Amino acid sequence: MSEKQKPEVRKSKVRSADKFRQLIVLSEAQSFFGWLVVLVALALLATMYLQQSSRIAILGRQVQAMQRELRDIKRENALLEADIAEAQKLERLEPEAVRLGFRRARPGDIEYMTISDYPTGKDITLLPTPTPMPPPLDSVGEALWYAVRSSINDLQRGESP
Amino acid sequence: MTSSQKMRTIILSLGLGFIMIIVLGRLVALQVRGLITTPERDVMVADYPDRGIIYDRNGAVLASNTQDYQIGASTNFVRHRADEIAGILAPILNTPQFTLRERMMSNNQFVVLAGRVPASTAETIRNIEELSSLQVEPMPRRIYPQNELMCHTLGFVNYGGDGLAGLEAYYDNELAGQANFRLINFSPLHPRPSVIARQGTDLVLTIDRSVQYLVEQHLQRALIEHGAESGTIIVMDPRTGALLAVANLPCFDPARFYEYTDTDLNQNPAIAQQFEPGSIMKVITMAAALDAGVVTPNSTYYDPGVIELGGHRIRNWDYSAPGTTDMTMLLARSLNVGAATLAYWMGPDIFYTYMQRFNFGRPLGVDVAAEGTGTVKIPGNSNWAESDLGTNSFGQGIATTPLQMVAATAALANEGRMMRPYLVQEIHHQGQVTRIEPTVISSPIQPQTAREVTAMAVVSVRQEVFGAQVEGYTVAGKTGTAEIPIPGFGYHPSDTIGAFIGWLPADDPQLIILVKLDRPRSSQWGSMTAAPVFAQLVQELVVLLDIPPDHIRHRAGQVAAQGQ
Repeated sequence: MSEKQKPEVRKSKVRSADKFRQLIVLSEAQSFFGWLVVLVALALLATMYLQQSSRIAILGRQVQAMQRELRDIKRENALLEADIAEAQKLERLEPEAVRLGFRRARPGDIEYMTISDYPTGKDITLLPTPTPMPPPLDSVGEALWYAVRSSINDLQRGESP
Repeated sequence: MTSSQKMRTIILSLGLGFIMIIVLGRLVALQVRGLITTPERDVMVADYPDRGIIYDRNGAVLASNTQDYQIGASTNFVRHRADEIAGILAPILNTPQFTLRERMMSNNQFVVLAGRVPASTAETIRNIEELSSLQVEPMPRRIYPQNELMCHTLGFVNYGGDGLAGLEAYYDNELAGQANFRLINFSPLHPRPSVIARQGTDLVLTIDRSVQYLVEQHLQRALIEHGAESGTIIVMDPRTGALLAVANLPCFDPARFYEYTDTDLNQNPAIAQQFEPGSIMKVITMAAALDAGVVTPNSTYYDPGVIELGGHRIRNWDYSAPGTTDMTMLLARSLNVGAATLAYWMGPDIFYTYMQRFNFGRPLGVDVAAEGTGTVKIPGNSNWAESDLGTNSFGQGIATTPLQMVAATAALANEGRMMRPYLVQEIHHQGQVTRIEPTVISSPIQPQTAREVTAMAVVSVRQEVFGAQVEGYTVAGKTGTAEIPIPGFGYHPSDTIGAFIGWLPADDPQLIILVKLDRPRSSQWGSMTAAPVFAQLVQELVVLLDIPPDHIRHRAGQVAAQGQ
């Protein structure tokens, strides 16, 4: 009895192994499509990587160029401020004022008024609430997510090119 | 699938997997900052901060920066075209062609063709293609847009950017900032960071440019009118010690300091130079005597016209002998014998204690480089004699700086509190503003004493110093005519220093002004030279600083009181 049962057990084990092999070993078509998917995924990843890298590099260069421009503008601004200061020096302004018919005021030229309830304190001016600025992007992942989110928002608004 | 196909599949899988790992690795590297930096991209860079700007209290620029340019060349790049470059460059730089050629042919690796040229010249050179191999490097230069205005107070900066005098020297560390060198990674993925250790700090002064301008104009006119050699005017707010104007003439252009041969350029006469103040010291002597309780405003003394102290005979300036005199008249007639009598009654201990309370002989701690201390001999010093007690009481044999005199007298105008004079009211550093608050140095006398001396000084001006009176305003003040010591030879036989120190409005002082004229020729008396300058100046200052006449202030006070 036990002798007869042994080959059947072995056979069922062999069948299971075959089935398992059939499961894990793909057909040629399956293998082809499988690798195609992998290749497409890889190509996508590589394209995204290259695109993001080049975009970041371009942006980085633009930022550096803008930094240089900002430095130059600041320098130019300082020079212009110095020019303004020279143009506003009293040595120059006084003769000009005299030429235009002005003269220095003396105490007798001023009329004072005494106002009992004249406010002496300064009026308080409320400053507008500043709009919060988004934080700068730190990584490719963040940039990617931001780009995808913007694209989706654009699509929703119908503004996508 | 044959075994060969299987093998190819495995190899292909491994290859693709390897590529995938590389791509993923790069992605991770991009996301994690720092992994993509490589030592090959690290470059040593140096950043220099711009020197801070100096503003007046209303924001007018008093000291700023501009750029000059240095024209240089690496000889390896220009040697073979030296003739051509020199020919083009010579008319632009206004330098002989052969000189430029010689420099370019030198054995040095780098030569300077022009040390400093203006921006327009640099721009011309940059726009000529044949000169593109030259190096045009910016070089900072300090400028003073107001020219000579408050030259001694601002000081100056050398080409190396070091502050050498005045505020430029005192605040050099803050103004200059701190340059830095550092290895940084030049990556297109990151902005180029600044490596400056500390930016230059901007200063906002207590000085009002318009007040300073007005003061210097009056001082200039006074020097011409009275034939004085030099002069000083200080305007201060006695309530805070804020200096509104510090003027000394003759002055210099701080941007061209190197053209002056005077070695005292780095000294501000108002703050560093000591002088014997003469009779303006009598208000201090009177304050000390009243505060010590030695006399009251109604006390009298007998003035025979001469007093002998320590073997030294002291006489009144006009050799008068007014007899019995009260304290107010002592001050009004500026009696030397009276002042010496007060000092004698106080005795050296009390008198010199008050001199120290008023900070004479010690620096005030004002924020300008090279502050003077003055000279006060005290009992116990080898060179002190009993006669000094008498002469010091009317400002001879004792030396103070003009600013010390102002600061001490300001205590009389500020309820007995002596404020530390200061010039910088705000320090701006990278968006942070530090305000300098007024500081009390000491309270040498009681408020009541200060009011009593002020009342006497009002009478003094009203009765004796007509030249210092200003219509509509009650002025308290004191004239001074000081003899000028010649070291080792006593005093100059004719030259004097004419001075007037006054504060107003007397019942609520907002201004204290010292006018000092050195060696005036029109008259030797301060009442004839300095006092009128004070009055003329005040007439314009009260308009500029919006100080209404007494009757307006009193009426306003009454209206305010009725409203409460």
